[in-house]
Amino acid sequence: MFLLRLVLSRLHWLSVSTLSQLGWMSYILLLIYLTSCQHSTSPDSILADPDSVQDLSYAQGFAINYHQNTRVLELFSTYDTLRYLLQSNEEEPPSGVIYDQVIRTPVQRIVTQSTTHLAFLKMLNSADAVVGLDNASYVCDSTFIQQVDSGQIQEVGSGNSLNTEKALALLPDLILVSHMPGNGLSAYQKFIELGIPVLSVAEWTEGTPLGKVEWLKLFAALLDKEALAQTKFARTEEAYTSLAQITQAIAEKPEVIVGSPFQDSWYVPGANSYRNALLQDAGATWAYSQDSTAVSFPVAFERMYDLGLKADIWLDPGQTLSAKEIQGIDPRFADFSAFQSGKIYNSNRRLNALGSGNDYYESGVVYPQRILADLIKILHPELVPHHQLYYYQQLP
Amino acid sequence: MKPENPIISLQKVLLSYGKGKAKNLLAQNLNLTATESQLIALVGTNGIGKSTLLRTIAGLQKLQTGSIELFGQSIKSLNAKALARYVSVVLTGQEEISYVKASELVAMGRLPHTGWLGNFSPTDYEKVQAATEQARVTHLLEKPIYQLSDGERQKVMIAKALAQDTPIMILDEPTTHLDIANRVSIVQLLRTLVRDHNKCIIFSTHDIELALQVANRIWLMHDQTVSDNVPEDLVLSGTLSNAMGSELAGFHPESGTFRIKQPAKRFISLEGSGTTAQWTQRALERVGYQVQPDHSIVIEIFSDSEWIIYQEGQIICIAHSIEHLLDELARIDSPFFLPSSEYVGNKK
Amino acid sequence: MPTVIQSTPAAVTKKLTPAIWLVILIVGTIIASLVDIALGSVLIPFKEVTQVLVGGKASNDVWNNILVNVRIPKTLTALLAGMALSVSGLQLQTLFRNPLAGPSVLGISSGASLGVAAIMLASGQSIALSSLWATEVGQQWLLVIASSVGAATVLLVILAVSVRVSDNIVLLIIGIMIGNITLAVVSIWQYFSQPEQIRDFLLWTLGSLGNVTNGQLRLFLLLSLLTIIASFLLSKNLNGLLLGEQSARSLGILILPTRIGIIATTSILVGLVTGFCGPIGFIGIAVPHLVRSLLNTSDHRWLIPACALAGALILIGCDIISQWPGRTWVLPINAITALIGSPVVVWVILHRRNLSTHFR
Repeated sequence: MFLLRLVLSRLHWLSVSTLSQLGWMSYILLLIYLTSCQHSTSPDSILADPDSVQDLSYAQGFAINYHQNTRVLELFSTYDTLRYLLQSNEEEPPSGVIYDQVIRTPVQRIVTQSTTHLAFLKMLNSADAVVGLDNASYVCDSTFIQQVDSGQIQEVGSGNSLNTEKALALLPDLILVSHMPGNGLSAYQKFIELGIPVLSVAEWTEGTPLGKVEWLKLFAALLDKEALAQTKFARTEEAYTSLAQITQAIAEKPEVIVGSPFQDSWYVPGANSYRNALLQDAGATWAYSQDSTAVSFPVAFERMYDLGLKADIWLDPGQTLSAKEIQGIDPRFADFSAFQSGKIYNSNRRLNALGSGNDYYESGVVYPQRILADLIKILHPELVPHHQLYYYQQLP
Repeated sequence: MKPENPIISLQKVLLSYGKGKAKNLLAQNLNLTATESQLIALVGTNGIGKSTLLRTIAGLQKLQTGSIELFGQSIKSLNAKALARYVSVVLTGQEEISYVKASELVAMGRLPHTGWLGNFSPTDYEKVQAATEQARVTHLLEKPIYQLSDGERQKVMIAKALAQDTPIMILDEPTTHLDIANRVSIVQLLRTLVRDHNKCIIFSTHDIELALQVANRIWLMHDQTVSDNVPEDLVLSGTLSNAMGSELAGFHPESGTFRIKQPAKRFISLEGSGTTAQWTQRALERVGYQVQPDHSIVIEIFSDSEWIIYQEGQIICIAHSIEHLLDELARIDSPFFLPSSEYVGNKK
Repeated sequence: MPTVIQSTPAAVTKKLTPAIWLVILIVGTIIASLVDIALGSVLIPFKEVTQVLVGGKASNDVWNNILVNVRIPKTLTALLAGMALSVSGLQLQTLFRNPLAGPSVLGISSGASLGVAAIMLASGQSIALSSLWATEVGQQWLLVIASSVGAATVLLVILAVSVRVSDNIVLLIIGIMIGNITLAVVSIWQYFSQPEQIRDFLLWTLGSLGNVTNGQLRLFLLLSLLTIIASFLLSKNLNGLLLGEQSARSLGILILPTRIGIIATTSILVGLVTGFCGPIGFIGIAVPHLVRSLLNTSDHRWLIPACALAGALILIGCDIISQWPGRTWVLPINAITALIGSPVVVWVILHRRNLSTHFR
């Protein structure tokens, strides 16, 4: 008993006078970790040379390497590469391979966290592979809405409100999210711990519309429908590039102003954004088409005001549905040249019944040629006389 | 006569407060001792440094120059716990969080004696019990501090110091804010502790009159030094009057009290002795008279409740209370007075 | 002699000794944990729950997964977070002698958030950091360390100020201001970050009990229990602090090691909770008051265990409320703690009048 007291009193002294050293210990541990642990970027020795790679002309965010008994899907980010092993149900993952997660293909029970994912899956005729989605009020496609109504697809919430229990109860074999690549999938660790793969579809990081839709090939690899994707993509590419070519010869490129302010800042697309690519392909003059500061960056209101006074056409002015609404937000908008000429076009022609889902972000991703056609119709109507505006509408 | 076996010993101590340029010298070259069984009252004018001295002896304030020894050990060599077993303090100002219950507060006096978690042994319980009873705060135990009056709180603090069971107790103005009954009871408690438990108790106070009655020694702080005397010597040598008196009040050795010096505008004579004479004189001085022999107006104390006023040898009136006396004097001393014929008669 | 009118519930509760309260709290926590594990969006029969809890398996893989990997960890997280927050809140209230002190009010949680923001938003800047961030273990440790360092920094600043400023209200205002400063710094940072990074960070600030992996939970369990035990060992010193620094010194309590001990334990506890669950408010400030009021003692040897249990019980209760069975959406935990915590604080203040003078 006395010994116990002695030990405990020693403990007390220790705790009172050396607890602050715990912080130092952590730093030392951290240092040791940093110096001893090499993050591996070199591929494993067995799979050094893939038999073939997926042909990707535009997409830069991923790569698929084909090996003898497996495929390696790599997702790139500024910091890191995530590697997924794509295995069909019978095969064992080869030993000695470095990978982050395994996906058993073809996937048949997918939980999605973005309507874009739904569009990709629909295009590959795999709408029935979806068992769960985040929020039905964002969905435009009637097939999926029906499936939600009939109970075939369950709503599970998104992000922090993702209902893990409900998602697990659906027995998914893949969770598709829409996270910042490389930012860690810490919010989804529960699924990964249980062996359910989580994949962040980062098609939105691509700087070109074709790059975005080329992610169809990633979905195809998950569904074992590579051939179908090839065909569909080729067709899309063909349609898009032929449209883009029409505007190349045009000399007169109208000036546009894009977007609307959000809390004192006007976020505009920069040189590397897909919106800019669309504008260039549609034959527009965009003030920031050369500015590669960031994909999108804030510009001071007065600069945009200055631009707006001169710009011929105003595209995508926020969530508005009429010129009156725009004026209501800020009366200074009425000074804009485009406002006065009535040439305001917003990409919200196709909203779902609830008004909260915009098809521009759903099917628009896989049909960039339609968006391009819309833009050409707006900028150079004489070049596409038979096209009717699909995603865009002129604001009354 | 230096006491043998001092348990507190200050040598060449320099007291100051403030830092850097604002440093104020309070006292220097202090050499003081205290022994067991001594009740020492520390007196001095406001701001002279009594609290600083007490806190330095208690080890709460760092000693820069000089040395202090407790039981022969330098105060610097004692760790906090050892020091806490020698000295307990009762301080002014309320520092404690007042939702604490009185019983818990008293129990904290045992902290220097308990182990790492503060668990009590039977001895600890006994000491707390004894301390509570001695300080007479048993009926207050369940109350949180915010429910106690100043006096009650003070007694609880003393109980805590008692529970600490130290040979030396230091109290900083323990009787301020207290009514006379409480003051006396606390001072009596201190006396008992000194006498029956051989404690050495140093307390500072503004109540000099009380201190003079109970303390074994008085430490008078003045002129950057401390005089250490038996109370009566301090009075008779005049040091007390010089140090503590001012233009407005002077120490009155006869009564052992401070008396306000009133500038006397008028003079009067008083005949009589005893308590009545004393208090008559006080009343006269209070309204601005100075008592002198052979003055035109004479007050004779005829009996315990009769005062005869004479002017120029003639009886002016007879008063039956001090108040009556003062009223009559006010009337007499006004310029329009003419002696009334009622009492005309000669003084015998 | 002034008397305070006690309402009947107080008179009754005052009769229960602290020991009995501890027993009540233990039993309550166990029951609440069972309820929390049994309830969720997916209906699982209670028999299955008990079966899994005693070490068996559920008859259904899905149920097993949900219980073992989702619900039990979440309840355990709520338990540990509740313990950590209330014990740190108690220590802060004693250290700063302030009835409104708590990890969130004094800006300490914000400091922890700033630490996390620094790591999350700036992990792109450093290769070492980002590679560490990408690994699971590295991410956990980085998060906890960044969180604790952020918490400790703010705590130290406030403590330094408290040495010069003895007025409680002023200290509180300074704490709130520091909280605002850290939030402002984070907003500015967000301004220059990519929207996706911002979104991730914003989601984190909502607070969540369900995102702690099993590996993280092990770390959480170990560190929080160790730290709470360390806080318990500080009880004697904490009790001494109740008397004020002068008196505490005169009783042999060393002030500086006590302060260091409190800062260290509080930073680690707040850092742990904030790092793994995001900032969760109100538990730290409300629970100590409730416990003090029920146990009728200021002895930290009782208060610390009681606060730990009460905090666990209350946070588990909040978790139960935040998820109605059968609903898709889970209510954010911070909203529930605010809803529950605020009335508790108000009730305590009304029940004990002149609360601020009690801390004078």
